[in-house]
Amino acid sequence: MPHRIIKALLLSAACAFLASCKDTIEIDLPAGEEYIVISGRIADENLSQPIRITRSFSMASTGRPQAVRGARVKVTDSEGHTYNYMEDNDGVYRAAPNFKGMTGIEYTLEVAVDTDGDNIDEIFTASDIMCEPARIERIKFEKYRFLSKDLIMIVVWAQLPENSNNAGYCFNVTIGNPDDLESYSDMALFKDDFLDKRTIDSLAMFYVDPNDKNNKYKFDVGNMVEVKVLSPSKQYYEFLRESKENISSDIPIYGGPPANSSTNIRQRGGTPTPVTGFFAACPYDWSYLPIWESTLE
Amino acid sequence: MRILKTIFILFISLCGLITAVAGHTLSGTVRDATTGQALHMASVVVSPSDAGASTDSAGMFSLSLPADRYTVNISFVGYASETRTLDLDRDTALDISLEEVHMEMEPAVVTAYISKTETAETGAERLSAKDIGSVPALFGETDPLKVVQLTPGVQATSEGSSGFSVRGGNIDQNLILMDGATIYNASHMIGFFSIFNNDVLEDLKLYKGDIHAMYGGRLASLVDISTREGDMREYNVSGGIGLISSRLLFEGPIIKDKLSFLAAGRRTYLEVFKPAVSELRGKTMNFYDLNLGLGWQAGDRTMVSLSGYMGRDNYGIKEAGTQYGNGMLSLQLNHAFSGRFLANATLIGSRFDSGIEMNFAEQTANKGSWWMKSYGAKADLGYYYGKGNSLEFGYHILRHDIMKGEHSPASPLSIVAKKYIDPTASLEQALYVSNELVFGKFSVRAGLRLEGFYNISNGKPVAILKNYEPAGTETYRKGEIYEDHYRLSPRLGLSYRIDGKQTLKLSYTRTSQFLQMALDNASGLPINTWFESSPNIAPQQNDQFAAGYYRDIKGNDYEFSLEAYYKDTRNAVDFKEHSELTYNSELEQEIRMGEGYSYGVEVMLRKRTGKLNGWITWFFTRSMRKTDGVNQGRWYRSIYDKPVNIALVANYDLSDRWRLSANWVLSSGTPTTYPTGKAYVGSEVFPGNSYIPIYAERNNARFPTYHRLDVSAAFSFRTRRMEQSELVFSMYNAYGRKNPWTIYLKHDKEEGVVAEMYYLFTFTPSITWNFKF
Repeated sequence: MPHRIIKALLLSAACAFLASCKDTIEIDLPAGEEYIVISGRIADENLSQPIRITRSFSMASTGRPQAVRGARVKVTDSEGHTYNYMEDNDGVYRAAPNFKGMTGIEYTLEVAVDTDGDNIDEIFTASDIMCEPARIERIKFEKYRFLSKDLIMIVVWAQLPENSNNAGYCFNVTIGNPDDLESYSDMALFKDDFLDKRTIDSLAMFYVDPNDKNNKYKFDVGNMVEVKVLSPSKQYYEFLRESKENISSDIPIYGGPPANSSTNIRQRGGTPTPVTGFFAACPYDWSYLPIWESTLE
Repeated sequence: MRILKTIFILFISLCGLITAVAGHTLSGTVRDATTGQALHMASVVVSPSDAGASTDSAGMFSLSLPADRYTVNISFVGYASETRTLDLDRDTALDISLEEVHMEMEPAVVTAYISKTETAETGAERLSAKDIGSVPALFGETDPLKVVQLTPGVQATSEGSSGFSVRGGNIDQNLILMDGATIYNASHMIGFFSIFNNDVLEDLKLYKGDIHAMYGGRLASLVDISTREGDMREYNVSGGIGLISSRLLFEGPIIKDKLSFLAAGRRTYLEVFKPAVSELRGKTMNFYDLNLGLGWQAGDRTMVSLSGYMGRDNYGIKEAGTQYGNGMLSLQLNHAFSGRFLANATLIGSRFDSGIEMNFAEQTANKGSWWMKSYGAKADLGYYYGKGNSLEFGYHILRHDIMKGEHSPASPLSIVAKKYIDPTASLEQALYVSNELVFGKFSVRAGLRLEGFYNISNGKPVAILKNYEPAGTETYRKGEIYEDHYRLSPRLGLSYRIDGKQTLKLSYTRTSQFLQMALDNASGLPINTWFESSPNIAPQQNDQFAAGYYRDIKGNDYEFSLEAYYKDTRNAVDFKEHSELTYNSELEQEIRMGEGYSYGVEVMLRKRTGKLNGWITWFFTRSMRKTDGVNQGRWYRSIYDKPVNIALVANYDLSDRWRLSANWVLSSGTPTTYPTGKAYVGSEVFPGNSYIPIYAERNNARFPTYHRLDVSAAFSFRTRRMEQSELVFSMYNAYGRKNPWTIYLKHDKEEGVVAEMYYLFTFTPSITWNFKF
C-alpha cells in the first residue's frame, strides 16, 4: 500500500506541475483464447456458497458472460464432509443453504464439465483453508478536505485476530448493490506483517467524493454504505492484490507489467483448457450505514 | 578460478614483453588558454606518423615515437586547434594552451574535434558542454542526459524522462560516473531532469559497446562525465535564470595558476508560483544541487582535484511527502612519473538515499527510507611506448552498503509495524590491463578485466533459495565473506584505417553486472532500491559484438558512421509477475533469472562545421527477453524494444548574435501489454469490480508512434559589465504532438472498454537568461 500511495503522490505532483492532459483514444485490442472462469468463496455463515462457472469474453463486449452449464460441482472439506451443488442460473451453482465454512478447515472444489464438446469431462479442482476472521465493530462518516476537494471519510473500527498466521486483510466499501457492476466500490488491502496492533480504532480507510458523477450509486442521501472485511489465505490475498493491480487505476508507466491474476484452479483431467478464477474459503464480517441528509451537511 | 588467475598473469607478462619496444617520448599537458584549466579528452594527432592520443582527466598525454620531424595537431571541441612542428630527437614535453572559440568568432574556426575515424573504439559518442547547451531543452533546463538520448542507439524510457536505454539494455545497466564516482539515481523531479548541471560539465563520453577494460560493473553502457576545475587565472561568475530554476557558478584562483575553486548551485522555485497556480498550493515541489570543485596544480607533473556533488528533491503535500538525493565526493591525483608513464589515483564515495512519510490518517501514519552508499579507491596507470602504443592497467576496489527498506509508524497511534531490513554489504574489486598496439594501418586494443564480487555477512541469517523458493538459511560471522563471484571480461577492438578518411572497426566486449535495481518498469522511481548478486542471484553477463564503418567527408566537415551490433545476455534479472519490490525483506524471492538478446544497426551523419551544423541519426534495434516463470516461459519483447528511431539535431548561426536550434525525434511506440479478454468473477471472489482482465502475452502491443519537434532561438549580447549574455527562447514539442505518457484501459458500460491516454508537454515554451561576468 505505501508503494502505491507514494506512486500516486509522485504522479499527482508531476501532473499538477507538468500539465498532464487526457484524451480518449482508439486502440486495437488483440484477441486471445477463451478461458473457463471458475469463481466462488466459502464464507463463515450459513449460505448456499455459490460457485460461478462462465467463459471469458472480449474486452469490448458489453454483455454478460456465457454460462457453462451442466457441470457437476462439489466441495469436500478436510473433515470428510461433501457438499453437492445444483445448477441455479447463469452458470451459478449452489449448495444447500446450511453450508457454513469453519476456521482452520480446508475446502476442496471439484468441477467436472465438458467444456469443449468432445463428450469428455474436464476436471478442475481447487483448495483453500479458512483463516481466522477479523471483525468490524462499527463505521462512521466524517468530512475531509483534500487537494481542494471536499471528501467524505469512511472511518472504521475493527478487531484483527490475535496470534494468527493470516496473510492480510481486505477491507472493501460498496455504495449501492454489491452485485451491481455500477455500484461504487473501493478496496484496501493490509498485509499482516505491516500491522503492529490488533485493534483498528477509528481508521479513515476510504475517501469518497460525494460529487463524483461517474458512478450510478454515489455517496448520496438514501444510499447504503457497506464496509466488509475479508480474512483471506495467503493465496487468496495474492489473488486479490494482483486483481486489484490489474483493474484499478494504477500508474502503468511506474507499475510492473500487467499479468494474469494467479489462480488456484487446476485441471486434473480432460483436454487441456485455459482456466482462471479463484476458489476461496474466507471468513468475512461487515457493517453498514445509511447516508442521511445530516451526513452531507 | 586458478585458470583465470593464470590467464591474467600470462596476459600481463605478454604486455610487459611488448613494452620492450620504445622510441622517444612526446608528452605534455593541454589547457584552456584563458582559465588554465586542464582539458580532458583533447585530441593530439602526430603526422606523418598517424599516431594520436587523448588527454586524460588532468589534461596530460604521452606518445612514444621514433626520432623524426613531426607536425603535432592539438584540438578540442569549442577551441581553436593548434599545430606545432618539432624535431623529436629526445624525450620532449609540450605545454599547449588552446583558445576557446566564442560564438562571435568565425564559425569556420571551430574545426577541432576527435573524428571517429581516429579513435579505436566502436559505439562511442562524445559531447561537450557546448554541444549539450545548444540543444533545445524542456523548460529551458539544459540536460546532458537528454542530449545523450539524441545519439544513435540511445532511447528515452518515457516522455520527458532523463532515463535512457542503450542498445536495448535496462536503465540500471548504464554505469553513470561523475569524476569517477558512481551515480545511482541521476534524476531530479521523478526523472524529468537529470542531476547534471551543464555549467560545471567539461565533457561527457558515452560508450555503448566497446568499453575500455578500465570500466565494468554494468552491462549496457558507460556515461563518463567530467566536471570542470575552477578558473586558475581569474574570477568568474556565470549562471542563468530560467522558468523553473536558476543557476549560479562562481570560480576563480585561490593561488593563481596553482589552486582554483569552483562552486555551482541550482535551485527550482516553483513555490513562487503557488499563489497564482491553484494546483501548486499546499504542495512542496523543489530540487536543488550543489557542485564544488578544487583544482591544485601541485607541480609540472602533478594535478590534484577534488570534486563534490550534493542534491536533493522534496515533494509533498500536507498528508504525504518524499525526499531523495545523491551525494558524491571524488579526490583525484594525476601524476606523470615520466613522459611515458602516467598515473591516476582516485578516492571516491557516493550515496543515494530516499524517504517517504504519509500522514493521511493518524492510525496509518508511517514513514520509510532506503539508502545505499559506495566508497573505495581506484589506481589507473598508463605506459605509452612505440608509435601510438599504450599499456594501461589498474586496480579498483569498492565497498557497497545497501539498506533496502526501513518502515516505521509516524504516530503513537499508528497501527503500522516497524520493519527494518538489515543493511547488506558487499565488496567489488577489479584488476584490468589494456594494451593498444598500432601496426601500420591496423590498431588492436586488447583488454582483460578480472572482477571479483564478495558478499559480506551482516551477522544475520542468509536465505538460501531453491527454484526461487526458501530452502533454509545459513548464518555467518559478521564481516565474513560468505559468497564470491569471479568474472573475467575480455575486451577486444580492431581498427583498420583504409585511408586517411575511412576506418573499419570490429569489437568484442564482455561485461558483468553485480548490482542492479529492483525495478519492474521502464521509468524508475526514487523508491526503487538496488540489490546485489548473492548466493541466489548470479551476476548478469553480456557479450557484445560490434562492427563499424566510419568516414570523414569533405575534409573534416562531415562525419559518417555505420555500426551494427549483437548482444547476448545471460542471467538477465527480471521479476516475477506481480512482484512486490518495496519494503520486501524477501526481495530475492521476487527475482527471476533469464536471458536476452538484442541487435541493431545505427547510422549517423554529423556536420561539424559551418553556419549549419548538427547531426542526423537513424537506428533500428530489437530487444528480446526470456525469463523463468514470466510470460509462460516464452520469449517476449523487452520494454525497450522500439525498432525504428530517428533523431535530427540542427544548429544554425543566423548572425553573430542569433543562433537557431531544433531537434526532431521519432521512435516506435513503447511496448505495452493489452488484455485479450476479460473474466467475470462475480462479487464472490473479487469485491466491487467483478471483471478481471486476461493477458495472453507480455508486451503484445505498442503505444502510438512517438515524435516531437523542439526549437530554440538564442540571442547573444554583451554589456559593459557582462562578458557574455544570452537569452534563449525555446519551445518544447513545437507542433503539440500528443505523445502517450501512459495509457489506461477502463471498463465502460457503453463500449465495454475505453482507452485513456495521458500525455504531457504540448507546446511548452520557456525563456532562459544565461550570463557570465
